[in-house]
Amino acid sequence: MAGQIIIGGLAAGSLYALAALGLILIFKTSDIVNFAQGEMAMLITFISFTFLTVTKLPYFVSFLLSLVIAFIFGMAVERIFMRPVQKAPILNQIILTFGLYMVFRGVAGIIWGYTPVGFPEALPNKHFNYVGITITINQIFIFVVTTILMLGFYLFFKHTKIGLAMRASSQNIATAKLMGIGVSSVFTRTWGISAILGGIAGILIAPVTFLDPNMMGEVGIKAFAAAILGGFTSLPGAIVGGLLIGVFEGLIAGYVSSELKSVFVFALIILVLYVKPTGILGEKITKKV
Amino acid sequence: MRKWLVNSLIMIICLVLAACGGTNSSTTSTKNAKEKSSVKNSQGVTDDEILIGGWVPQSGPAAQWGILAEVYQSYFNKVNADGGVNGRKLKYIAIDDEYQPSKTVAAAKKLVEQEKVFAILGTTGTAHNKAVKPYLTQKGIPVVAVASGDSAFVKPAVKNYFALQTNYDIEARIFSTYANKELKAKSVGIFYQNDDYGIVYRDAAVEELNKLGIKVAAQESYNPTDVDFSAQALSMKKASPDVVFLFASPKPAASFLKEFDKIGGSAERMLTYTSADSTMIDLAGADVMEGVLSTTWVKSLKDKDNPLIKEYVDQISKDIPKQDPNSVFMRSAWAYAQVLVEGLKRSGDNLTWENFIKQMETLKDWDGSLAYNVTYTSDYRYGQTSVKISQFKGGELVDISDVIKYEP
Repeated sequence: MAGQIIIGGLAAGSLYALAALGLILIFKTSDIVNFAQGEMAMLITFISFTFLTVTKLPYFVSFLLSLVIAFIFGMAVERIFMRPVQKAPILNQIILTFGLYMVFRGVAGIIWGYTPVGFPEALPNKHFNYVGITITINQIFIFVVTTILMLGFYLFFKHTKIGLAMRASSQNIATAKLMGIGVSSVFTRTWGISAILGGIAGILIAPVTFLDPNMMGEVGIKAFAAAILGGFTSLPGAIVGGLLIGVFEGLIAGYVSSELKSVFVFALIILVLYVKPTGILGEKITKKV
Repeated sequence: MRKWLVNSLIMIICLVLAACGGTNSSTTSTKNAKEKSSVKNSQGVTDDEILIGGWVPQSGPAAQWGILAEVYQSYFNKVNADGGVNGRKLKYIAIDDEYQPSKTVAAAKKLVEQEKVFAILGTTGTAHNKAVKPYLTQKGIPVVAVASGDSAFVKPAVKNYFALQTNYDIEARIFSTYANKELKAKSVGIFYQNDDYGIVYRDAAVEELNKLGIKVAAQESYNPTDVDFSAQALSMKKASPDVVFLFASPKPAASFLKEFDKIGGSAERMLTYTSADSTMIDLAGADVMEGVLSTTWVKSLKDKDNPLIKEYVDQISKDIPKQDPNSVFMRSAWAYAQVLVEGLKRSGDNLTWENFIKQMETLKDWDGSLAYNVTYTSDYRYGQTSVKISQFKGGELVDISDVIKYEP
C-alpha cells in the first residue's frame, strides 16, 4: 500500500512540478509571478484538442503545432499586455496577470464551453505491475519529460549567453541594457518559452484532470505551492517541491484522511518556510549595492 | 466641518426612514397580494406574459450547469410557438450566480423584488438553494423543481416548494436494495464527495445497508477540487467490496473509476444519477464505464415514437444544436420546465401563487413530462420517486429495468 501511494504521489507531484516550471522561468527573468500561467496552459491545451478533434491531426503533430502557437501566443501576451506596464511597480504587473487569468478563462468558456471532456494520453495506456505496485507508461513519461525540461533549462540558464542575459535582466533592467542586452526581446522570448512549457504541462495534465476551462485550478495552486516550497528561483527546487507535495498529500490521504490532505500540505509548507525562508533549494537573495 | 456633520446626520435620518418605509411597504404589499388573490393575479403576470426566473451558474467552476437555462428557454420557445399558456407567452430570466451562495442570495432577491417574477424554476446547487430557502419561504413565491435532490426541500414539505428530481436519500436506498436483491452483495464500499451532497447519500446508504445486514467495507471521501484519486482507489481495492457506490460529481467519479480499473479493482459499480450522463463516456472511456449501473428518472430517447421524446429532440436540435440531446442533464431540465408549465396551464386565468400551488397539488401520477408519475400533495413534495435502473453498455447508458417506484 505505501509503495503504491508513493508512486501515485510521485505521479501527481510531477504534474505539479511540470506546471511550476513555467512560473519559475518568468519569475527568474522578470520578478513577476504570472497568475495567468495555468490559464495560458489551458488555452493551449484546448487548441491542441481542436487540432485533434476538428482537423483530426495525429497526436504528436497537434502537440507540436500547438507548441508553435504557444510560443507565438506567449510572445504576443508579453508584447500586448505586459510591455506597456514594464516600468510599473511589480505589484501592478502581477495584478495585470491576474486580470489575464480571468480573461483567458472567460474566453475559453465562450469558445469551447464548460462541459469537461476527456483528453487522450501521450502514450498508449499500458501499465506494469511489480510487487503489487502499478505504474503506467504515462506516469513515467510525465516524470521523464519534467526532469528533462528542468535539466535542460537549468543548464541553459547556467551555461548559455541567453541564459546569462535572462538572469542579468532580472537583476537590473537598466544595467542589463547598458551591457548591451536587448532586455525587451529577452522578456518577450521568456514569455514565449514559458507558454510552451505551460502548453506541455497542460497537454500532459489534461488526461488526468480532464479538459475544461477550470482544469488548471487545483493543479495551478499546487504548482504555485511547489514553486514556493522549492524556492521560487530554483528549477530543480520545483521538482523537489512538486514531488514532496504529491507524496505527502498521498500519504496523508492514505493514512490519515483525504479531507485533511491539503491542510497538511500547506502546514508543511509553512513549516519549511519557517525553517528555511528561501525554500528548500532557493538562493538567498542579496542585493549588491 | 459643521456642514459635513449636518449633511451626514440628514443622510442617516434619510436612510433610517427609507429602511422603515421599506418594511412598511412590504407588509402592505403582502396584504395587498392577499386581498388581490381573489381578484388579481400575482406578480409577474400581465395580460399577455408570464415572467419566470431562476439562477444558474454561467461562469465559474460549475459553469457547465449553465446549459439548464438554455434548455428552459428552449422549452418556453416551444410553448410560446404553440400559442403560450392560456394565451400568455412565457418569458424567462436567468441570473448568473457563479455558483457562489452569497451571490445566490442577491440573485433570489433581485428576481423576487426587482424583476418580480411569478415563479422560480430549476435553480442549481444544494447549498445555494438552502441559503435562500428561508427568504423564499417567507415570500411564498412558488419554487418549482429545485435542481437538487436534498431532503431539505421536501422533508418536511414546504408550502411553496416543489421538488422533482430523485431525492438523494431515496436513491441511496434504491442502490442498497438493488445491491442486496439483484447483485447479492455481501459488502459495499462507498466513494463520496465530502460535502452536504455526498454525506446525505453516504448516511442514507450506510443506514439502509445496515438494515439489510450488508457490511460497509470502506468509506472513501474526497474534496470537490481534488484531482488525484489514487489513494482512494487503492483503499477501495484493498477493502475488496462486492459493490462500490459512487456518490460523486462527474470528474472525480470518472477519475476514480479510471484509477480503480487501472490497479485492477473489480466490483459492481453503481454511480449516482447526478453524474451518470454521456459525459462519463467522454471522460472515463467506454471500456471503463462498461457495466456501471445507475438510475434514471427521465425518459430515454430510445423511445422515438413517444411524442414527448420527439418534441424534445426536435426543439433542442433547433435551439441548442451544439449539444447532444441525449444528455441526462438536459432531459432533466426539460422535465423541470414541463412540470412548471403544467401547473401554469392548470391554473387557467387565476394566476395567483395561492391558486398555482393548489393546482400543482392536483398532479397525480402525471405522465405528461419526461419524468415518470409526477405527484404532489400538500404534504408530499418529492415530485416523483420513480426510476429505472440503467447501465452503461457499449458506450451508451441504457435502461435495464421497468419503472421502480420507491415509497418514502
